[in-house]
Amino acid sequence: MVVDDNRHMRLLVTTLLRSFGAARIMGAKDGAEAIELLSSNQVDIVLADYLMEPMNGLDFLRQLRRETTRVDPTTPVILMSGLAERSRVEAARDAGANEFLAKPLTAQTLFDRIVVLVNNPRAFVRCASYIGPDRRRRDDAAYRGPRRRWSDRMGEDAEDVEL
Amino acid sequence: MTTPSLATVRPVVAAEISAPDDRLLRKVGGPIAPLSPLDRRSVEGRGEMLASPIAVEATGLADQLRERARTGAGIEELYAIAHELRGLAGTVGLAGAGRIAGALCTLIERSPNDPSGDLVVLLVEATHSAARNPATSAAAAEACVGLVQSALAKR
Repeated sequence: MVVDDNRHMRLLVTTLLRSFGAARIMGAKDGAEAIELLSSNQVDIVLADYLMEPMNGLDFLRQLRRETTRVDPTTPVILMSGLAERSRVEAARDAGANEFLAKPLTAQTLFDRIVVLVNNPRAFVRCASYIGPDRRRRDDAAYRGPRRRWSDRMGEDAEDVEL
Repeated sequence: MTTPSLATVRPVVAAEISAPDDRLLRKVGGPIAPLSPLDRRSVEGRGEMLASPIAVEATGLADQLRERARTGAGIEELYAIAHELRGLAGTVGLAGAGRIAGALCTLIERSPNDPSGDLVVLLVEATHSAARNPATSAAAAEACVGLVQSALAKR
């Protein structure tokens, strides 16, 4: 699903996705329309713009991640933005984005994000302060803090983990 | 008196962690291979077919930005137009206009209540000029980005 309030960008992204082999692609003008479509369709990946009216990409993402009945909150989301400042990327990450794609986008950058998303699925975390994919991508051998990762917990029975 | 360790003061919060979901991996039949140079050219060719209408849209946004700035639009409206332009411009070879529009967005984001009016006007006019004359816009874009950085550094 492509969520962007600019129809040209929707068309561009849709065309690139088709050329990658995607068979069925839906479009939505903003986050609210996307939530409605997600409630009645199984969607593999959502590509959403950051700045949209009336519901922007971050608000859409937060609502999606907190949904428990109407839509699948684990649906992978790639957030697209014309500005790739660190604060914006971090806001996207903390809202539960799987990937961040800076515009202007190219076929290669779009393809690369999809490859990362498909080839390297991440654990999904739900807690009071965060719902979304595991935000840690690196495996730091020198890390000495609490071991909370899904991979750390393999074989454990603990239901609660320290955050 | 001993200082409590970080571990003792850190709240314990319940979290549910689900294993990585490989449904997409299974759906596409295994890991996706990188695009070959031939495939990439083919895909980019399809994208280029759409460049013309997007270029028209981007140039129209630059016109709109200048028009609205001249007719007294608020800073939020100018930001919305510049942000849209920044996202579209580079995709259709208007990188200079995109950079200047991006500099305008940065200026407004970092000083939303009091961006320099003169600098806003300069960036709006430069964006318009860059969209209309993309071949000569690189140096102008560099200068505009420098001006915004200097203005923000003084704050």
